[in-house]
Amino acid sequence: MRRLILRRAAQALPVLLGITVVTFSMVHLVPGDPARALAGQRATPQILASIRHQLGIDKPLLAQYWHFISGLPRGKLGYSFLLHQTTDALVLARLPTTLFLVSYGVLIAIVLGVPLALVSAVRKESLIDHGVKGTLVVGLGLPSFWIGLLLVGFLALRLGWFPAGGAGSGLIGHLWHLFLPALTLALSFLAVLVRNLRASLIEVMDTDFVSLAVLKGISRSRLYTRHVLRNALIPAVTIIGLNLSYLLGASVVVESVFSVDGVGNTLVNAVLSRDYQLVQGLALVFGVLVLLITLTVDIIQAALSPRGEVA
Amino acid sequence: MTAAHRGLPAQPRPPQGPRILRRPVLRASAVVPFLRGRERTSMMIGLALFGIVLLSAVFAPLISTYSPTALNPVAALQAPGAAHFFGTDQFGRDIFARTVYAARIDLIIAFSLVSTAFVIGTALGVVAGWAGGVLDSILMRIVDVALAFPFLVLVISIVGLRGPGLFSLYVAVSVVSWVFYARLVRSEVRQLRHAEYMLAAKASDYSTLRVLGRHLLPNVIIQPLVYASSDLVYALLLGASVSYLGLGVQPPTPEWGQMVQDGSTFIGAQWWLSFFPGAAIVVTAVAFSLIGDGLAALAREGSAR
Repeated sequence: MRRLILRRAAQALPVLLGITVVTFSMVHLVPGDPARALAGQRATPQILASIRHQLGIDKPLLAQYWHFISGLPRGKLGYSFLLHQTTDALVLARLPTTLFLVSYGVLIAIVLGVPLALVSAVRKESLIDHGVKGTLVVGLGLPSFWIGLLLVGFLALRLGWFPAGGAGSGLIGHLWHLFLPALTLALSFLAVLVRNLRASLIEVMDTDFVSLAVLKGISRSRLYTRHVLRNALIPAVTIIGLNLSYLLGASVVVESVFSVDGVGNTLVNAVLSRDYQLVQGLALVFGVLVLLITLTVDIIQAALSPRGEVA
Repeated sequence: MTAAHRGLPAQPRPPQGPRILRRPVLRASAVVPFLRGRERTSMMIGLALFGIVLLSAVFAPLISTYSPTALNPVAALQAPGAAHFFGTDQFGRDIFARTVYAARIDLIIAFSLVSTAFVIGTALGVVAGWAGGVLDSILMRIVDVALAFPFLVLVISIVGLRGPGLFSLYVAVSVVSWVFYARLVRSEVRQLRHAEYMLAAKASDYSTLRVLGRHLLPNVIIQPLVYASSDLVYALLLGASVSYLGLGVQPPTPEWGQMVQDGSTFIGAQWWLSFFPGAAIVVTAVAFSLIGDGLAALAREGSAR
């Protein structure tokens, strides 16, 4: 197990290096002079020079890169000139909200998706199955910003059942405030989850041990919960793991719709206000987060796999 | 059972070219057997929906008598009715006209994003898979790094750094989205490299360009094509999302995502501002999905025979 973890970590290292190179070069994609973009057209040469010094762009490129990555192990991600805060402080304060939102969304997707997939797989090619499939085609094409906005308009503003924005405080407040955003996120992911889960459930139901269980005469409910669903769990975990990167991306839009103070909404605002260093720092955080998630899913999968350590 | 086994005189075998020179797939006969039953129905629905969207985009001026950008403060925020099918926005602009005209820009965005990624990704995938070695390793490491970011995060960041606008959107998506095609095509190429007909083509001393273009490409192109047809859904949603965030198409050009954003402040009472452009996205996305599923089924059928 330890060897597996070490090997996977070693494979992830070049990718990590690549992530730092990409995010580092982001600031150099800015057309024109970043210092002038920050300071405005009427800035004096002295001010421009001092901003360049603060941004560190008055040094040679390699020195800049070294400065950038040497700060990372100590958690130095840069400074937001507009929010007057370090990026690391912002991330520490706002990342938990985003992670909470994504986990909440995954949970809702599972609660909605598992029964749908089960019904659809058990009654394969029935009217219900076709109904579910048709709904999924529509679900796949739902823009999350639109469905989120409709939920706000109808459930929050018209009926007043839910708050229209913000993240609330405390666990109950979080669950309450983030229900609509999490539901929106879940809906954008539901189609993919149900499609894959249905396929793997059907696969499990065609196996010999399920036929044996049927022959032994166990009850329907026991068959589905103990034998079928349990074996479809590993593919379900894989589907969710593979899509966490997508969900993090989707959370950016959802946070923006519901004005939730997570890292996604911060990224959008940073982009809109041209806070380049903040954009750079947040992109790096997202990249590292996905890398860690992929690594964890890989290791969990290997641990769950009955064949043991397959590379 | 051949004829000889049943005690009958063996029939002369029909004349057949050397087996190694036959190239499978992408022949009309492999694609012609049309879909049947439910798959056929959903493909038809998809094509019909897409036809409606495409025709309204092309004939927008004929379908709507109103201008999509003309201001008319007297008729601001009118509910959907006989005069304005989809109602009007806060400036009195006709939502129906704007939704119909927006189909133009949204379709162009979706198709150009997908075709750019398709062309670049397929070309690089063929090169990587064919050349192997260092070139392959470098390209695949780039793919790994690009996939390490949430797609939307990378696109938004690049758009933001270049400054909002349609061109930035094209640049940002082109920089990233080719990797999906490259990875797909590369693995196909690596499987086909040592196929008999490829060896035959190489042995015939054809130029590399001819081997790749005439013999390899027709056989690896099906997978990325099928992928591209479902990718249209994502490209459509991506373009609309980025514009919704205010980073893509800029006003006053009507675009669905941006129209949803425009109406968001009125969502409590004047729901129609955001509802109809969003519904147009869903209809178009469903059309793309159904067509994509149909093409995937066709490809499966084609490769099965």
